[in-house]
Amino acid sequence: MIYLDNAATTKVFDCAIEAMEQTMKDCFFNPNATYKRAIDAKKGIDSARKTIADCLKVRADEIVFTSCATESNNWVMNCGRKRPKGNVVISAGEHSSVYEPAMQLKNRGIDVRIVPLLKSGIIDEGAFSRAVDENTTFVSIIHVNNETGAINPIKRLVDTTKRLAPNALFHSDGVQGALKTKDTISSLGVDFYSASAHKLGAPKGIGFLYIKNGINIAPMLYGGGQEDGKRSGTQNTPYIAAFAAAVEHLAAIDKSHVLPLRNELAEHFKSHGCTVIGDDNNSGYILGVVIPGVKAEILQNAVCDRDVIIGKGAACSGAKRGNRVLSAIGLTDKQIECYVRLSFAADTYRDEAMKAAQIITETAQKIRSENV
Amino acid sequence: MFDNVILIRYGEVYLKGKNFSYFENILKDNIREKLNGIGCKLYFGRGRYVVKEYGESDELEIIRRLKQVFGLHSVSVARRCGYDLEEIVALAVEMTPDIGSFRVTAHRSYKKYPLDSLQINMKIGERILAAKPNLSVDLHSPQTTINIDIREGGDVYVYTDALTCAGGMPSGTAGKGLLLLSGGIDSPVAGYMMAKRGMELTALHFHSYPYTSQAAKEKACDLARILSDYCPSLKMHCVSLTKIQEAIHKYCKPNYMITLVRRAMMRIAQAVSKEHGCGCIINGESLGQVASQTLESITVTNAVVDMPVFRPLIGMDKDEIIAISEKIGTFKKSIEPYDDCCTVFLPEFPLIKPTMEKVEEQEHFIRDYDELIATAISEAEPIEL
Repeated sequence: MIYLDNAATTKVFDCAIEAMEQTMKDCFFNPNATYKRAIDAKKGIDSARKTIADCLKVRADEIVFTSCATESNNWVMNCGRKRPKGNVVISAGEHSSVYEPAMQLKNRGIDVRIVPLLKSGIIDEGAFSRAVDENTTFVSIIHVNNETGAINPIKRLVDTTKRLAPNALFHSDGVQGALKTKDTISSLGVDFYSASAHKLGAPKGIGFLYIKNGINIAPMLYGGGQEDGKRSGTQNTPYIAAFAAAVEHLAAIDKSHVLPLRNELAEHFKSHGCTVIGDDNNSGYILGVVIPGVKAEILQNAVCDRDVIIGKGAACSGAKRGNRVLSAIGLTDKQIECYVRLSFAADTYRDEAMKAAQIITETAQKIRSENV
Repeated sequence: MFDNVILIRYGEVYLKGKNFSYFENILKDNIREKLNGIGCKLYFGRGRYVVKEYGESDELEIIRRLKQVFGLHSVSVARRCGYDLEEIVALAVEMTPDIGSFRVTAHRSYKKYPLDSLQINMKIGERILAAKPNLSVDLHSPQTTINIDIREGGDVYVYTDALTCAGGMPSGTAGKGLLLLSGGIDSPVAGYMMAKRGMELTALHFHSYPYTSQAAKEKACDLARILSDYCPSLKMHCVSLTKIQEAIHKYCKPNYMITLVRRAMMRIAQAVSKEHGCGCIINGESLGQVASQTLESITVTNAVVDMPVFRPLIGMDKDEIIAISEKIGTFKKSIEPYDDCCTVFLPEFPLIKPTMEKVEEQEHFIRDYDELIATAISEAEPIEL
């Protein structure tokens, strides 16, 4: 099997499975109890937190574990606003876990401003500057777009925000960005940053919210006061251990081949009459292609029969008609119907990816010829 | 001690004459099968059945299951006591709320009971009022009705509400039909309607993989699973239409696609029906809803089969169909947006008034048509529900 749907989820690294198993077997104690074994479990969490923080170049106390990035995004969207009446700015390219909470805010009467995207898939910076004003209290812009792989200029957007709305807080959804771009969280200058473990070779069910030192946010979940009172609920020690092992592994391996591979694949598809969405400003982990005349769903099923797994837009919205983000970058309904998303991991190799590309274009050609 | 019982009332079966026991025995079997796995005792008396000696935590599950048994009219959770009036009063007082309006309604199937129904109503009503002076009596639209059911054999049941069940006739009393189950809103409702009249079902789903997704097929299977709550013997089979649709697409005019596909479906359905002992085909057509459901379209699709085709939704509006779909729990699943086989090679303007002559002419253009149909039938895949 050639798996090219890593933006949906990644295969779990062996080291992550081992860390998880070991913690489950030997360190199942409640990390919030006071006996020695429990304290060891707590130390395990602290150590995992430190590992992740070191790899991401942030302070350990800036990482708060959550159950997933959807939780992180919902938390920050609901509790990250300092002033209840100020406006909120997001982009049209946000993941549903930011977009839908923003729509809830809008339903509650809050002024939510949605900044359009350019054809390349990134935010329209001019429109962003016009959307942010002194009444802006919160901004959330996705780091790397999950449909196209386009990298938003978060640092510049943070600077613009701090200039026009000095009191506003800035959040970035980094699910497809963490460890997948040259940027570090601290270099971006954001106040909050969400990440998900299962996009980084760890299991589903664990994520974090980065909260910049000195920034306060009210909890979304109240209870036993875990995670320094910020996120109650007994910590998922095995998955936290797996998360740290995966991040450590990922940080250490060479990823320099990913972007050139993506670009080579882009050339392959272009030479077969396909349209590649976006430009070179890409994380390298996502390649969006419109394959004319072939419905993505049919192609996805047909290549699956040849053991190639590809995506067709965000997997979590796979059952929904249309695609809000692709519409926002100007794709027509016809193009969206024919849009496939190939997404890579750091351990995706050239040979398998090129073979998959060949299978995809061959299959597309076959479907076209059968349906003429 | 938990001493609730559940009273079960059957519905239309009571209209049966000499063959009553045939229907009743099947109904009893269906109830036994439905409650299988739950610790309880069933008593089948004349006119009413009683579930006794079950655990408190099972009560809601028993009610949920009984509401899915066709042939039952309603159920009530009741408390049991003996003929002693003081016992009845004590239960009635306990079950009446402290405020609001109430009435007492006695049913006296044990005719030798010393008080008649009216006397029981008055006596018990009086005692309830005395015990709970904030209550008021309202005989016409009370907030609470205290029902007193006096049976032969020393049993008195006191209850407040009657929960409506599925009605209809016991499953397995009206033969077996083949349901064409698409994945949309209508076909599960059509199956439900026929099952409600006592028909056992076998479901047949057509897919067009890879043009339709695995998820679309799973959705149809999930719908069958929901339906199987009402039709315990439900079986399912899937047939691929891909090759047939490709052939129609290749050899025929585009606007004949849906008409020809539906004729192929009916031919396959008839063969599958015969193989599985089904005496009819059931589909979810509603007159005029879409191009394939006009009188002319139905005429040309119906013409390829010689067995009864039941269309229980034919005269219903979409709103009415949706209401049933919501009631039986298929609606949420049905609206999951996966394409079904009817959307593959969908023409821009499908025929709404096909004629037999032209349809047959187009069908003749399809090479190896009979082989394609035969292959589709032979490759039918049974589904584990």
